[in-house]
Amino acid sequence: MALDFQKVRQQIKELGENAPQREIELRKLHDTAELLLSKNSPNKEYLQDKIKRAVQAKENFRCAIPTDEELTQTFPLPLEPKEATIFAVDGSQINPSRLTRVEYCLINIGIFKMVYGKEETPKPIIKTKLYYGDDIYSSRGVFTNDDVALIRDMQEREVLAELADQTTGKVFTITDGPIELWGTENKKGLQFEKYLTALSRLHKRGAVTAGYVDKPRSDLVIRLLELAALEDDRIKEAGDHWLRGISDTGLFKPKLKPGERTALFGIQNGSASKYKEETKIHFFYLNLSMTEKPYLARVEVPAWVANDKQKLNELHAILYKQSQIIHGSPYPYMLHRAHEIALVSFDETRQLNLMVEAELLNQGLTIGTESGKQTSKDFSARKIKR
Amino acid sequence: MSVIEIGRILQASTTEFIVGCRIDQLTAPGFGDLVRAPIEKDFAVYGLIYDIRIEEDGLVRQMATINPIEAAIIADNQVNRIVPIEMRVIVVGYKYKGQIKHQLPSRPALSLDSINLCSNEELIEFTTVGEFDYFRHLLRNNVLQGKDAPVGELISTHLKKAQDAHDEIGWYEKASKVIISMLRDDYISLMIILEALSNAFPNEENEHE
Repeated sequence: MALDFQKVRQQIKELGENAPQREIELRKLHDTAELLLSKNSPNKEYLQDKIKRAVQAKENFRCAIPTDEELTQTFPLPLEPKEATIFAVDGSQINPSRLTRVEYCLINIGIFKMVYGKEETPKPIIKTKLYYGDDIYSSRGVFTNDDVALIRDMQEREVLAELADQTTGKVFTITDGPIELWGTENKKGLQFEKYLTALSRLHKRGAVTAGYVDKPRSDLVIRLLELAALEDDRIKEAGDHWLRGISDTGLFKPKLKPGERTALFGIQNGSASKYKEETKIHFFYLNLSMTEKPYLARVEVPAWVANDKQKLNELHAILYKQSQIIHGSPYPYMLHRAHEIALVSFDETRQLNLMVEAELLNQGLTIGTESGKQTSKDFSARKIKR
Repeated sequence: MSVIEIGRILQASTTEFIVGCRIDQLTAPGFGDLVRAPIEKDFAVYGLIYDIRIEEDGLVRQMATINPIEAAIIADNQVNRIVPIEMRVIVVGYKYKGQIKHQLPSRPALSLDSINLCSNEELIEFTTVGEFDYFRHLLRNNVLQGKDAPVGELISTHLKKAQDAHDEIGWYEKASKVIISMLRDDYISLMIILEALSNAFPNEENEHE
C-alpha cells in the first residue's frame, strides 16, 4: 500500500477549511505590496542607497535592485531581429550511485541551434562526457548530486561560450534556469571561476546571454518592497520577510499585458560582489501568455545585455515568439527542444550501465555487486512500466 | 544493384513485423511494397507493407493548432525530432539458400535487423515462384482483417505494382483468377477485393464480371 488515504483525507479537509482565511490574509499582504510598489516606483536612487546600507548591516541581505527603469514601468513587445543565431541549452546527468555495480557519472548537454533570417533547418548538438575513477571525487568524497549539477551547469555555459565564439553575426544564448550557477553562494571556488570565465567570453563575443526561469516563485522585488517600508533607523532589521507568501509574479501578473515585460532589476545577494560590473546579473518578468490569463517567466541577463536596449528588446521578442509555438503551453520551443536533446532516459541509463559493466568485464576486471535495494527498485520500476 | 534500406525492425513475429524509420527514409517505401529482412547470409524474410503510421507525440499535437507554423519548426520536427514512424508488414514468405518459399519462416527477424525495399527484379522473382501461394497469408481470416487493415486495397496495390514490374500481359489475369478461386466461398470479401481491383485496373474491370 502506498498511501494512508484515510489519514491524508483528514489533512486535506483541514487544508481546505483553512484555505479561505489564508487567502484573505494573502490578499491583504498583496494589496500592501502593490501600494508599496506604486509608492516607491520613482524612488530608485533612494532605494539603491538604502540597499547599500542594508548590506552593510547584513552582509547576506538579498533583494532586487532598481535600475534606471521605474519599478512599475512596463514595456510592450518589440520586434524580433531579422538575422541572428540562437543557441538554447539544457543538460541532464546520471549521478554516481553507490547502489549500482559500477560508480560513474555522466553529463549530457543538449544544444538546439536556430538561425533567424535564413532558410536553415535547426540543428541539434549533443555533448556527452563520462566521469569515472578519480574524476568522480571532490575533496569531500564521491560527487554528490549537487556537485554533478554544478559541473553540468558550468559546462552548459562553457559550451555556449565555445559555440558563440565559432559563430558570426548576432548570437543569442539561452539557458534553462537562472543564469547564475546554483549554489555559487556556497563558495564552490573552481567551478565558479570557470563559470565567470565562460561569462566573460560571452561578453567579449557580444552574445546576448539569458537564463529563462519558468514558473518562478522568487520574491526579490517583494524583499525590496519590505526594505522600502522599513524606517531608516531600523535598517538592522533588513531581511525581515513579513510579506512572506507573496511572490514577484503575483505582484506583476495584473500589470502585464500579453508580450509585455516589467522593468529591469539588479540582484543583491551573497555572490553579487564576485561579479565584474559588466557581468552582474539582472532580471525582468515577461508575460508569455497569448490570452488575458497571464503567464510570467523570469528572464535573467548579465549587465552587458541589460545596458543595451536593442539587445534586450530583441531577446524579449525572441522569447515571446518562441513561447507561442507550443499551443497552450507558453514555454520557448528552443528550450523544449534542448531539453529533449539533453534528456537521458531511464532505458538509456540502464543500457549505459550494461555497456560500462561489459567493458570492465572484457578487460578481465571484477565488478561490484548491485545493491539489493537497487535490484528491488528496478524490479518495481519494470512492473510499473508494464 | 543498390540496396534501399527503409528502416529497422522494432517488433517481429513469424507472421508480421513492425519497422521503425526516419522521416527522410519514408520517401522510398509505400503501401503495398514488397520488403525484405535479410536475417542471415542465406536467409531473408519477405513481407508486404500494409500500414504506415506517423504517431503524434504530444508536442506535435500542441503545435498543429498554431497557424502559421514557421518553416524552420516544421523542418526541425520532420528532420531532427524522433517522430516515431512505424510501418507494419505482413510476412508472405522467405528465401533460404536461394530458394523462395511462400510459407511462413521458421523464426522471425530480430530487433534492429535492417529492412530493404525489394527491387523490381526481386518482386518479379518472388511473385513468379509457385502458384501465388502467398495470397493465403493476405486472405487468411483474423490476420489482416482483425487489424482493420484494408485487405482489398493492399491486394490491388500489390498486384498493380507487381504487374508494372512484370510488364507482361497475363500475369495479373492469373493472379486475379487465383484470388477469385480462393475467395469463392466468401462473397463479401471477394466483392471488396474485386472493387479495389477494378479501381486499380480500370481497363480490365469487365473481365471479372
